[in-house]
Amino acid sequence: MTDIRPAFFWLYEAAFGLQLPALALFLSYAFKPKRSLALAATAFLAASLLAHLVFTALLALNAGRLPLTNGFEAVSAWGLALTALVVEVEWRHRLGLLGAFLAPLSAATLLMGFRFAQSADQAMQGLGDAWLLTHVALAMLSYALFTAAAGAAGAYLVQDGQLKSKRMGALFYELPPLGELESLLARLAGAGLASLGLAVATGFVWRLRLGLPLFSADPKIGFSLGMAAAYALGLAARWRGPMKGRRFAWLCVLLFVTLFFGVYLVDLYFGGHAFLRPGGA
Amino acid sequence: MALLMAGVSHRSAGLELREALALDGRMDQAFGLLKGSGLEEVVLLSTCNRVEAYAVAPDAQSAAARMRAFFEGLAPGRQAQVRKALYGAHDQDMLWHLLRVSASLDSMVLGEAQILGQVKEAYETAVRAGCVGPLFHGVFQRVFAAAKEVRNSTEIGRHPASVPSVAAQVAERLFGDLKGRAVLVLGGGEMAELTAEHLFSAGADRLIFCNRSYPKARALANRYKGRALGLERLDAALAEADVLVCSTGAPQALVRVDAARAAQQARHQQPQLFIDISVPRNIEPAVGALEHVYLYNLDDLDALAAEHRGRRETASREAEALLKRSLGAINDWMAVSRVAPTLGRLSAHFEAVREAELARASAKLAHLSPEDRQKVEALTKAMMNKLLHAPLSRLKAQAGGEGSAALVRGAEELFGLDPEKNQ
Repeated sequence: MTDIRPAFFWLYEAAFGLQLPALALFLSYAFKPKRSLALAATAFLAASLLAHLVFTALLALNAGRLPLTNGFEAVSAWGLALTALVVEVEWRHRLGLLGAFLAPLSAATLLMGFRFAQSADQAMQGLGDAWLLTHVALAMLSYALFTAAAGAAGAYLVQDGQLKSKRMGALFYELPPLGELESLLARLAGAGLASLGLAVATGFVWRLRLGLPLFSADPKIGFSLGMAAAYALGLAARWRGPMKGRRFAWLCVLLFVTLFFGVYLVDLYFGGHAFLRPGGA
Repeated sequence: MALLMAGVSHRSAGLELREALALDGRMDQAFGLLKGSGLEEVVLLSTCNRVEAYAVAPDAQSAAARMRAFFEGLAPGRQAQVRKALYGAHDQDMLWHLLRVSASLDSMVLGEAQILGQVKEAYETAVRAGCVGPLFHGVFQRVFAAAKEVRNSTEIGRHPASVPSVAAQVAERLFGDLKGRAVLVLGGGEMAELTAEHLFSAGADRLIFCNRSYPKARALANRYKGRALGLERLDAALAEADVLVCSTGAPQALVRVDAARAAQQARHQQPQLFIDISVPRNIEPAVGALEHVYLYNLDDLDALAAEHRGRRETASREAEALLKRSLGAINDWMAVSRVAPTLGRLSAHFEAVREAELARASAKLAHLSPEDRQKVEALTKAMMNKLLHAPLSRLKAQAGGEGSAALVRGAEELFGLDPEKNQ
């Protein structure tokens, strides 16, 4: 484990720094829904996205490869995808308040990147392999989609609570209708599951190409399969009825918390994939 | 030139008197009477809550007397009542009143959406009758823009203020688009029908009417292109309904928790909104505890409507501030439009002098090439514009101010502008 921060790491710091005013503005919007606040927050988030994109491009140019080859780069890609998702949703749908639920998560993801940057793994073996890069990109995309699903779930729970209790705050008029939130939540979780499924599949293809056994005592594979199974079961239960609405929203929040801390624990404390450790496979 | 208005509204007159003064069916006659009495521009607004006449006249006092006589003539034998209910305003007060009326700040239900359309219709009717001149054209366009701004940038009309419209809003916040949603209307009371109408207007297009009296259900179903059911089929219909509107005179609950639970199971826990506006309640309160059922009774909806009315009151203060700005803009426009003929005459006078001098010098400039002639043309135009800039700007800046009339007269005398000749 070594500190792998490049000279232009300040761009990553700037990307994180720009998320903080965006976060504050989105939270202010939750209390006083003025269009200008949401617009300013989206502008800060877009600036953060730009800084992050430039950072990622420089990282790629410097290394001469796609920057998806260690824990930090992967977490950075997760944060980048999530920020892009929030900016896109805000730009297209101008929901304002959904940003208030997603912005903390994207800031938290970038914050997690700092910890990974200080003690990142070196580039993985089989680096130039397109299957491996696709595997990591898909995994990060799935994390971003699960994070967005958690944000939508938070918004759903707030809206549902207001409709049930009949105490409508300012949020009631700003959040999308409950039915739309439920379907958005299911679509995000479904897309995340599909992306994670493909990530697992491409990972297995990569292992087969390197002659590694399909299964081994690999905490990361176990964790990913466990997450995929939990989301698949949740989505199936939602589709069949018993896990609709509030229960599914809570499940998405719970699974996201598991994912967030799970990634942190598995990568930093259990060393991530077994093959990254000396003699591992 | 004076602006003035007179009329009666829900604030000054009862429904009976407003009905007697309503102009529906006698608009042409009213325009004829008012134009015939010397008013230059006239717009007549006649809605169920107000009958008002807006006019431009050379003299405010005599015009006000003529408008009073006009209103008294509309309700023969009730002159005393009309005199008591009639109110009027002129110039700034008239503009302020028109702005408030159009922005729905003077409406019976604060922030209601219809009034702006009604004022626009009144204006268009007056245009068709040939009763709108340049002054009212400019004023009304600016009033419409101001009212639209109030509607868009404040919450004045955002929150519904009646029980049926609140019920429709809750349905929209729950389901989003109501198109394709099934609404089961249980009972045939006025409130149930009004709520169904609001839901229908919001997009719900599958209405099912369930009533103890099948012919009554049939009649309602025909009106809304829906389906009619007898009360005995209520439980089956419950599973189909996304929204249930319940308003019957039954003394006991018609929708019990067991039936609601069975309906939930049959529809795989899809959410349902139950609206119970009957007194006594027709839906067991325990139904509201079911996870995917959102139960609202009359008190819940009433409380929301009251909260919305409070929000409208707050928004009305914001709206008044916006209208004050618009009033200032209208005044500026009116002031400039008053000096506009002088500005036009002054520009035309300078242009005429420039053209005449160029024509006179044309023989001496005959040796110039076409390009050089263009340069001379441009030079004279630039000189003229430079010379005109200061007087035109000063006249515009002073427009509406105390010295404006004297300045206009001074400019006309100094430059020998003859209004008759230039027109």
